[in-house]
Amino acid sequence: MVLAHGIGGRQDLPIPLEFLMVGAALAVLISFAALGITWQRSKFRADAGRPVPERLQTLADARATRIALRLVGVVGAVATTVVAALGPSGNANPAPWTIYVVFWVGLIPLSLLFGPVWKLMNPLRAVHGGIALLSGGKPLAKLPAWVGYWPAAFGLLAFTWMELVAPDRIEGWALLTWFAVYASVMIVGSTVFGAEFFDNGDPFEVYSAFIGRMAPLGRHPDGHLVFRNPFDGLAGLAPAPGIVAVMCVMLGSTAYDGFTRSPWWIGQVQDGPLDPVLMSSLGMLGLIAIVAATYWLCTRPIGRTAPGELAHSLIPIAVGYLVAHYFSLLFYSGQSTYLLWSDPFGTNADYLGVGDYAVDFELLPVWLLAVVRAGGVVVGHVLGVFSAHDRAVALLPTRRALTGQLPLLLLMVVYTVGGLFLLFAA
Amino acid sequence: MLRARALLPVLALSLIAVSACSAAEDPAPTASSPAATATQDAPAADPSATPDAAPAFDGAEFTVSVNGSKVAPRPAVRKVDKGTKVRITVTSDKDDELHVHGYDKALELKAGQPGVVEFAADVSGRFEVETHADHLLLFTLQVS
Repeated sequence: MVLAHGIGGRQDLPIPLEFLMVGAALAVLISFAALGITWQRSKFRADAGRPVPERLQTLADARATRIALRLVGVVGAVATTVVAALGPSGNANPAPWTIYVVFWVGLIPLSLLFGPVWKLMNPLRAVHGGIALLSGGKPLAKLPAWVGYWPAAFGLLAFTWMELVAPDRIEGWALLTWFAVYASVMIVGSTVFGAEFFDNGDPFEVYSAFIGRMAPLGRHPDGHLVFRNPFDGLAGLAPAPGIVAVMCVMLGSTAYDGFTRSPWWIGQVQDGPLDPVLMSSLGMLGLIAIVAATYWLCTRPIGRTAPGELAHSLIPIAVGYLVAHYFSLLFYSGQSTYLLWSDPFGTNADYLGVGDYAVDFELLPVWLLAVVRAGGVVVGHVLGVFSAHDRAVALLPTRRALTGQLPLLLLMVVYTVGGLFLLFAA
Repeated sequence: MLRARALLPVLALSLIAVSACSAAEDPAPTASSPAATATQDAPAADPSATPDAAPAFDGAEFTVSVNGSKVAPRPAVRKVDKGTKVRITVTSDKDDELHVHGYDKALELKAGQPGVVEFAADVSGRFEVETHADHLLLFTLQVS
């Protein structure tokens, strides 16, 4: 995240050239190995998995657990709103850190571990619950099927634009404005269409649910919790309108984030003929459009429904990008956020008793960061390739199974090598 | 022979990759003063490298001027070795504030007057050096 012009401060060193070379070579090798050891019939299925111990199931479904999780969401949202409104301006305020680091980036590991957690924490569901109590809670209309994930796709685009482009992204008034508009849309949507509007319409729930497809913990439609492998979880993501748009925004905006770190691009923006905000917006939309166009070109030949059917295979690739870009940010700026909460109103208070603790930017060795960043991208690539292969053999007749999926395989190699190159050069 | 020929494209590709990257990362320094240029080429502390500099400074020196939204030299990654002393001199055409991220160095800039900030680059990573009013990136300091 380029909190450059605001919070954060330290950015990762580029990965060494050897990491770029080895990572790219691994990606290519494993991709072609995948073609060699192909299986003929689709293996991964959403109903796979071993039931979890009963005590874990009881704990997860307990009323107290549900209330506690919802409370964390509500209390966190209220506290952040108050501090955003009343606290100091700019990066001395814990609100932007809480939103961009703890919430937005923190959702990634939480969802990777436990699945779609934001659904259980989303404070707007509590608001909706309150409104439903007063109004009787009957939805006014049925959500049309064509809406699908489109509200979430636009929501994610709006949030990443806010995070990466908007000039006053860290100011309280800007954050409050953004979240006021978002909350209004969600509350109107859920009042009209019922709570199911959140499932596919809330950008943060969708983000968490998509990433959570890779979690070792899953839930069957009958409510049973299971341990399952990420491939089975990914295969269970049913295509719906807008699913490809969500993936393109996730991939394109993260790539743009890496790209904007390069002083070359910043030079173009601040020195170019166009207004910097317009130029940045065009850069971000441009990268999303490139991802969308290349993905469509490489999957559409497989079949009319193929782009949607294969969209889940982009999740690991997007998660790899996210890990590579945000791992150290969460580690270091997460600590900064905690420090700032100790004095949220800039009154020299020390509520959390942190004293003069300062973040040590040398805690993670440079080599470890390079391994995690390059490794995240390559592991994401491998998971994506096998997920795509498994779905492709289900979509394609046997004799075309190999050649038909080749374009997508090559595209994934391009995404991965491109991602590594951004880590190296940008 | 055949094997050697098969290796050629690989070698060529690696060479292209290496040269492309180093070209992108190391634009020829276009700093304004000769002293600054000399120290940028040899960021590792070496006082003998800057014999002409009026006040001898054994570290890396960077000089930037800001004119409207124009930053000269253009923003780039400037590399120093960890432990190097860094001196940044900025002249802006209007009152502003200079900020070195991560190290959290801030400095009031008066229009037309060079402002100098000095510190030891003892934390590795990349850090943006920017002005506050217009959020202009002056350069990215890479400490490794």
